[in-house]
Amino acid sequence: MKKFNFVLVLGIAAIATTLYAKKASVTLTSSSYKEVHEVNTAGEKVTKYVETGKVLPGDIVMYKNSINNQDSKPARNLVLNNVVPENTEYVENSASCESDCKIIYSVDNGETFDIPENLKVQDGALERAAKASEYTNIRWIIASSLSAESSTFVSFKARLK
Amino acid sequence: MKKLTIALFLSLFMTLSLDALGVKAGTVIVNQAMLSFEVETKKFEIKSNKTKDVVEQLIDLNLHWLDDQYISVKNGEKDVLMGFKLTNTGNGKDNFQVYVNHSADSEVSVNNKKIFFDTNDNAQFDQEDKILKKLVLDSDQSKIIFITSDIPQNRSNRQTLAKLTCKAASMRGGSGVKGTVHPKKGVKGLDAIDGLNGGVSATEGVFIINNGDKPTLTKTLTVANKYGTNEPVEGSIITYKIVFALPYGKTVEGIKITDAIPDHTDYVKKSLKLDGVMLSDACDKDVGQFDSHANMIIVELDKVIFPQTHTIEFNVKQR
Repeated sequence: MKKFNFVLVLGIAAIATTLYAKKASVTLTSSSYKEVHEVNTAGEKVTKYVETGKVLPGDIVMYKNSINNQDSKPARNLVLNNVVPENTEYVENSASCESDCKIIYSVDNGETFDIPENLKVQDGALERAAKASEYTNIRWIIASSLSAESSTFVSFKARLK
Repeated sequence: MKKLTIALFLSLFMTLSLDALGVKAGTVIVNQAMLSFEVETKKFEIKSNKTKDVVEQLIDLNLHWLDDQYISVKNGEKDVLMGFKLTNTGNGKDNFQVYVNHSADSEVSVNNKKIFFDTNDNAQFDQEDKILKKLVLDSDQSKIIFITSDIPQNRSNRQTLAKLTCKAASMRGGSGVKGTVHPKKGVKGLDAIDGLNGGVSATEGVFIINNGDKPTLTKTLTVANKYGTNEPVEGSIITYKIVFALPYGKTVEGIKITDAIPDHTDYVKKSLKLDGVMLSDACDKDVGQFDSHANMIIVELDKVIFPQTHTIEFNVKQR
């Protein structure tokens, strides 16, 4: 019985190590950047994104999710989900991706997803088209595989309420 | 002291709700993404790190006068009341300093100005309301400010305006310049940033001081002589100016204003004017005439509505 337990423990440890190794091979890093408008030395208005960690009501924040495949094999069927952060609202047409992807949204906290044209919300007794500010979740379905030892990213903007 | 105008009561109910500017200071905005993928035949699901952005304190306030029309008061009246409402439209608790001063164009200065806060929040000025040095308001919270003052005796017989400018400034910032950062001056040691109006808000309230309920005629004169001085000597031209004004809110019809030409003077022909426009001396289509038999000028007005005023001018020559 003791021998069996010992083998079981070893087995679990091996599986855990493998899973850890596999998980560590693809990383997902999220960063936030505050949108700042400045005038450059030429007198032109420029928009910059700065990582400050501080925001104010009305600020626009760009969120960037970077996927890095450190594995020796390609990662396929990449689907990235991001809940629109609490106390913010999604900025229309701001979601994008570096590679080919399909972007769909949810207005029911991730129960269902669709393209903007098909999203409806209940407004009293009437059903109407959803506004971008009503999106609750964003989903990026990345069309191609992510090659070994390569990276890509997706991003979106949200306005602080 | 307990006077509270009806207009003030009405405007309390008509006051628009002003929402605070969004997410409360100190809130942490967190974002985390999830990724599912496959490597060979194995499926994985991973989470990103959490980004954290702290909401700083945005300083904003709105101050408005509660009466939307002039407050009608009488000469020498004591403890007249004027109300303002201050709302903290920023996103965090703030302390405000409140000041009241005469506006630059105030015709009259009131006396004994005092600032009270509606301490018991009953929208009425009463004995519980106190004079405090500062006003502490949470975001979205409002407080009524009462200004009491004494109206001076007005020596002129026309209506005059006493204009008071009430000003509130944030004590966390309040530079007057939008975007000014005040490091660690916000709630919980956060930075405080002056918002749209720079953390300062000012607005004006106006008393109209009446001498009574009747229209007023205010007559003034200027003298010009050949010596270029104001001495009334033979040949001097004296210009009389008569201003007709109404008490606050009044309308009067069928007005006839007459003024006899003073002794030892002669009316200067074609000098009669109404609001700067020349009137003929004859009794004809226009509203004025010089009656040579009665030796007086006459101006007739159909209807005058407050705050309209009319000014009559004419010249006489000293004998």
